[in-house]
Amino acid sequence: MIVLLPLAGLALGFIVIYLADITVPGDIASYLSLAALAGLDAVIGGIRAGLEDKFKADIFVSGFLVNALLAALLAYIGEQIGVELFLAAVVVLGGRIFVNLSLIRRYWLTRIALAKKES
Amino acid sequence: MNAPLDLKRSGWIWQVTILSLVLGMLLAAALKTQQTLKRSSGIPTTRVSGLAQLVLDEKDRNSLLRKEITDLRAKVDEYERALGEGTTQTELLRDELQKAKFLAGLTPAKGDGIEVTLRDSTLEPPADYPADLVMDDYIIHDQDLLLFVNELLANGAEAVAVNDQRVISKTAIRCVGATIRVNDVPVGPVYTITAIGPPDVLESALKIRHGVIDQFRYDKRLAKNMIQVKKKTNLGLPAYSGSTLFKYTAVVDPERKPK
Repeated sequence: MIVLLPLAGLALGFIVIYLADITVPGDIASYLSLAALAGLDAVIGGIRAGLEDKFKADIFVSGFLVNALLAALLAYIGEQIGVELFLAAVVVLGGRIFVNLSLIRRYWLTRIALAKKES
Repeated sequence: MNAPLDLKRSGWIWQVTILSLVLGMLLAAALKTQQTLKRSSGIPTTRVSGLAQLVLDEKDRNSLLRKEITDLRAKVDEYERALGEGTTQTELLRDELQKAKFLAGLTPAKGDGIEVTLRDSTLEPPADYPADLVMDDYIIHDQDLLLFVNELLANGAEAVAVNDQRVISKTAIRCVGATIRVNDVPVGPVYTITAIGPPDVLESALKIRHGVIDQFRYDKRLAKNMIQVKKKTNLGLPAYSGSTLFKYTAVVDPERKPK
């Protein structure tokens, strides 16, 4: 099942760092969490694009990096001027993750239905 | 399903996989960090900055009040000195006052005695140790401090302090949230009880069979790990620095006959 590869990669990366017991200083902990959220958004967006045959490597990779950095930067600026701007990133990214997940779900359901009809 | 997932169509899966690997790393690092932060402070990071500001404000206010106390005490001392420079009668009065202050713990004190150090356990609980007892047994509680202070006082300690907070007649030792307060001042873990009194008597009173150390915890390794008793010469104890205000209690003067 080639489609399970991303999940396996996720688990592998997670386990490696988790067992290596790597932590970051408390000051930038919230930025790291935000970057992780941006990464989650990019990966799920990538899967959706792939399923829709619209996948473009450059958009995917740059989206991952730039979104993570932008989200962290936004949060940093917010902290400087006393506005909780990181909430904006959390809401937008979180919302997009939900939308993309539901599209992926639809896609798979359609596909399974099609496969059943053919057999 | 449709079997020929050809390379052109499945190329993206590999790229997604690679970034998933990175994402997994990010998630793990974030999770680990939050876990350690939560363990050390018990507060999620998103709330830390606000709470830190509160702590700072309170600290400022605290130091202001502390300064006020020292100023007021200095003023009192000044008045007393002025009093003492008068006649022999006022001088006697001053001596009497000094004695009363010493009794009340309002002056620093020094002398021989012992020092008891209590710290949270560094031992790993054994696997079969009841989980609800770990929290109870492996850290120092306000009851422990109370027990030790009480035992010292019962055996001839004349002046006692916990982490430089002098124990006086109004002293309370109790737990507020995760910290212990003595005289309403939070004291951090590694608690040092200093007591002026007969060093040998005090030490053996603590170490006697069925005494407070002998009966310390169910896990007998803990007493050795968490308690340290040392005899000390020339200990210095600070004066009580809290409020001496009495709101509800009035003095009953025994020499004045009731009307």
